[in-house]
Amino acid sequence: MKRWDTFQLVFLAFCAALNVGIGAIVGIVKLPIYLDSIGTFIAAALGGWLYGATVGIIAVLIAAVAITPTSPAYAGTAIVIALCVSILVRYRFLKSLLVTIIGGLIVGVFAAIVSAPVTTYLYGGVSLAGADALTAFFKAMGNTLIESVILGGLATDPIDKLATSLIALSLLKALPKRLYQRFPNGRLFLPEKAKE
Amino acid sequence: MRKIVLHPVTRLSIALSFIIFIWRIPLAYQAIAVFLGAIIIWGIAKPLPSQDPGNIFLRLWLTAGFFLTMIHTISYDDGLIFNQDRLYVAGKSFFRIGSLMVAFLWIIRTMKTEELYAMLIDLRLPIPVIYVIFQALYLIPRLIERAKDILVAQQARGFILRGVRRRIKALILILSPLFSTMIYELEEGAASIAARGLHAPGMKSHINTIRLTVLDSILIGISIIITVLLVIS
Repeated sequence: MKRWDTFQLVFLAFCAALNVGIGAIVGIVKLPIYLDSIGTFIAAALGGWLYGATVGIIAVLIAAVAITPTSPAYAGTAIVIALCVSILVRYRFLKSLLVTIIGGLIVGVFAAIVSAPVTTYLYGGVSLAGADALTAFFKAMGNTLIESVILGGLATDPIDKLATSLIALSLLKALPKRLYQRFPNGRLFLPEKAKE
Repeated sequence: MRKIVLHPVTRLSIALSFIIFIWRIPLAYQAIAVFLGAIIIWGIAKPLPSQDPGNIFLRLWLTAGFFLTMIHTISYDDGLIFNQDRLYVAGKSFFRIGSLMVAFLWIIRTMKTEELYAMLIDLRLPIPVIYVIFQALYLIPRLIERAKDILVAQQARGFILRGVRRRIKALILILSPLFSTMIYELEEGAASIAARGLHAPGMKSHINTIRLTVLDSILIGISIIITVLLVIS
C-alpha cells in the first residue's frame, strides 16, 4: 500500500475533527441537521474509499468518548458512505450541482438502510440522532420495529446527506487547486483546462 | 496507602466485560448493576458542569429512555394505547445503552490522554493512525472556537442570524473561511511532523511509562474468562 504523506495525514485528522466538531458548529447556528459525515464525504471524494473509511471510523471512535458512546456501532455506516461517495465521484458527484443533489439522496438512502439493523438489534430502535420521534410514529402506526427504523431513517438521512453533499461541494470548491494534486482522486475535481 | 493505577488495557478489558455482562443478564439484575455503576462513576453529590461528559451522557441516556418508551409502548388503534407489558423490552435496551454510558464514562474519567498514547504505541498500532486520532482530538476544540469567532465577526459586519435560510447561509459563511484558513495551518503542521520524522523507520517512543503489573494480568484474565463464558452461555 502506498504510504500516506504527512499532509494527507493532517488533512484526514482535520476531516475526522470536522465530522465530530460539526455538531457543535451546527449547534451554534441552531440548525436541525447533523452533517456528521461531512469529513467522510470530503476525504472519500479526494482520496478514495479507504481515506473516507479511515476518517469515518476514527470519527465514530472519538464521538464515542466526546458525544455518544453508541456511535462505534455505526462504523459500518461510515464505511458504506465512504464507498458510495468514492464511486459517485467518478460520475461528477461533488462537482456538478445536479449530480451532487441526486448523489446526496442516494448516499442518504444507503446510510439509512445500513444503520437500521444496528439501531434495531443493538439499541432497541433508538439512534439518538434525530429520527427517533419518527420511528416512534411509524411503530405506533403498526409497522414492525425494523420497518419503523428504516422509514424513520429514510425520512431524515437523505435530507441530511443532501445538505452534507451541498456543503461538501462548496468546501471542495474553496480548496486551493494545487492541493487537489496531493490526493489520488484530486484530478477529478480540477477544471478541464487544468487537466490538460 | 499507595494508589492503585491500572494499565489502560486492563481498564478497557474491564469496561468491555461490564458491557457484555449487562447485555447478557436479566432486566432486574441489569438495572441494579447499571444503577450501581452509574452512582459510582457519576458521583452522588457533586454537581457537574453542563459540558462535562457525565452530564452529556446522562441527558442522552434519559432521551434514549424516553424514546424507547415511546417506540415500544405506544400504539395507535382509534386512539393512543399504552402497552404496559412492552415496558420490559424498552427497559432492556435502556439499561444496555446505560452500560455503554457507564463504561465509556469510566474510561474517560480514569484514562489520561498520555496513557492512551503510550498504550497505542506499545500495542504497535500504525503510527499514522495514532497520529490522525490525536491530531483530530487536538483540532476539534480549535475548530469550534474558530467557528464561534467567525460567526461573531460576521455578526459584527451586520449579519443577522434569524430564519432557516439565514442559518444555512451562516453555516456556509462559517465553514468556507474555516476550511480555507485551516488548510494553511494544516500545511504548516504537515511540514512540522515531516521534519520531526513521523515516517522515520523504527519504534516510536513515549514519555510516560506504563507497565503491566501482576494485578493487571489477573484482572485481564478474569475479564477474558467472564467475557468468553458470557458469550458462549
